[in-house]
Amino acid sequence: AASRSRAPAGGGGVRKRSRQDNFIDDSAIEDEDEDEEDDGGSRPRKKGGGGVRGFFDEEAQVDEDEEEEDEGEGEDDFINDAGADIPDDDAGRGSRSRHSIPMRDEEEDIDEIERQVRERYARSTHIEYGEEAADVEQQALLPSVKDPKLWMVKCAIGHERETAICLMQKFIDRTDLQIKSVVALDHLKNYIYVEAEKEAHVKEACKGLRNIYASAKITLVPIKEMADVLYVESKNVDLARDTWVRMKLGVYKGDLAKVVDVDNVRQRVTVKLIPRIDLQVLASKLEGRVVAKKKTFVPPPRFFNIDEAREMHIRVERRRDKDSGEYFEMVDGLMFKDGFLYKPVSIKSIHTQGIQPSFDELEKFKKPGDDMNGDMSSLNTLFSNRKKGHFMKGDAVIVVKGDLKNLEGWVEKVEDTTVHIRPKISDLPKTLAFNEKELCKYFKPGDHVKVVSGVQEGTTGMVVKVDGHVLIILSDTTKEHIRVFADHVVESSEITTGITRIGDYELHDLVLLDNLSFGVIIRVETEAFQASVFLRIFNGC
Amino acid sequence: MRGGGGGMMDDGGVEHAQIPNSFGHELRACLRCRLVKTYDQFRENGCENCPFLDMDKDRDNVVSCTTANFTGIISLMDPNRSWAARWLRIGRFIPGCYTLAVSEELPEEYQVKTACLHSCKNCDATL
Repeated sequence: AASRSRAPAGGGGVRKRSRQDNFIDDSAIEDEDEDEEDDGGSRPRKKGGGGVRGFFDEEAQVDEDEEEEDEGEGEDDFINDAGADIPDDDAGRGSRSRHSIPMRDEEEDIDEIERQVRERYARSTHIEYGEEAADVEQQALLPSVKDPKLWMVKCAIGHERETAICLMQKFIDRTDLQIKSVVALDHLKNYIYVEAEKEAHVKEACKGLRNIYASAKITLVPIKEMADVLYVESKNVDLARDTWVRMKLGVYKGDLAKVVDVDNVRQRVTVKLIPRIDLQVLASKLEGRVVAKKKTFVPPPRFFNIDEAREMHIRVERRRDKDSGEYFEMVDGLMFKDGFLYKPVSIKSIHTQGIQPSFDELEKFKKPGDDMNGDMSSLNTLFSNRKKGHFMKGDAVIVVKGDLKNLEGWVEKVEDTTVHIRPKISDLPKTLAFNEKELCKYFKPGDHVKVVSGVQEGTTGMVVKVDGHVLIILSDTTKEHIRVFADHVVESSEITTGITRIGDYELHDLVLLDNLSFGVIIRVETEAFQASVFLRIFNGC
Repeated sequence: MRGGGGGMMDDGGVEHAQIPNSFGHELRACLRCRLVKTYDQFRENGCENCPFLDMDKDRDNVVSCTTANFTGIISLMDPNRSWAARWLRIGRFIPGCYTLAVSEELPEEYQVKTACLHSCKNCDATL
């Protein structure tokens, strides 16, 4: 069902144009070649595509001749657009319908060419090339002075899509509308964009529309900003099982949750949370007693305990979920398993990007009995979602993902998200490149390190144990074992003395207590906004 | 009026796709050509640009090949001349309402259908 507005095939000039356009990479043709005329006529042949044409070994013509050619020959050299319709959706690439695409009467020849081309090129080569060339081509599609202009028109707020669709309907009803397209952006309220050659066309089109005021402002968009209008940010929602997310709304707002099931069709996921249930309220509710809802009270997170619930006479049913086949404890429509609450929510109600669970949160999620492997995989997901680059030249790292897992090395160079490392094994090439998500900082027991982020920031100490991503460090100051993520730590010979003063007192001060005891301050600590002072107390002797 | 798998043709007018008859959550975009219509419209008349996806034959095809997850709408009156259509690579399709971007991909089994559309004479290819 080709559009009738396409140029009819026929005429040497037209065919010649199509020959040009049957480049896979149409960027060869400069914008000024794109005349609106559909009739023949010579066009200055741009041979800018020389580099591209080198890809096609069947192309022999570099000539400039404009003679009429046999359809067969004409199409011989270049892949038919139709055939080039690579699955990654580049339907328009390689031609514009105003430059005729040989179709209909020329179908047989097309098939012939298709066949030839297919023999020559494996499909995969096409696809690769297509993806690489995409950016270059996009550049070539920037608007030129010959293209229609874009006008910004004010319309009734909230009715942007409706206005665009109404204009489409109006175009169908009266084909004398001369506008080319109308764009309604999701994020831009109150305005639509109309594409037209002249402002008068825009005004004419908008006449009589109830969503556009008669006096509506029409503003021309500068040519350099046109492409930005159509820019759409690609949202990379990495929602897979075991991804960490945070709840946006409700009782669990801000709580960490783990995705256990994804339903893309209905845009819903099932997440696993530490329940915040007030058993008292629940019991009362189930018994039919009306309880004054304490709206501001959010129950603390606590694992669900069936026995506890049963003690309060809450009926707990063991049911099998039909989708997953697993058993859950159902209470009041809520699903529990292993103490966790499994809650279906819409994708819109969770934060998926930039989730950085704190160590404590992760600890809480881990139940006794969870093996380390399970934890590792969730930690891996966690690290793959980390945004900040944290590798520096000289860091000792280990590969945690991929074929080269467990390879140790040192960071040579960091480039955006690619990290180049010098591997420990000498048989390998001097440097190997990895995605930062595939690496993790590597420390050995005995390394002296400093914590640079997280709760323990500022502490220095010696690594005593390495447990996957987690290091156990003996703090210099407190002589305690602390657990931190390898990511939060850098090698350092610095030794902090920690805090030495609190208020009026300093470390090693001799102080008098209320009674006759006195002592020496041996340690000062700040923890959770509480200052503590440790004393060695001497009793009167 | 409906051509065989193609778009609508009005008297003396231009061939075009069905215009969405509502603006709410029923709107869906074809994953291959990004045409926007309602679920029912796809179910009844298929996709005018991609008839080989057989949306009018089986509701599963509508569910798999269209998505409600799309950004922005462009009403395309003149695909030949519109710069926006060229930029968005929908200049080859028939006039209608399209979306700027979809966030899903056409499932593989349907991608094959798109690929074989030109060389296979048996397919309902009408492009």
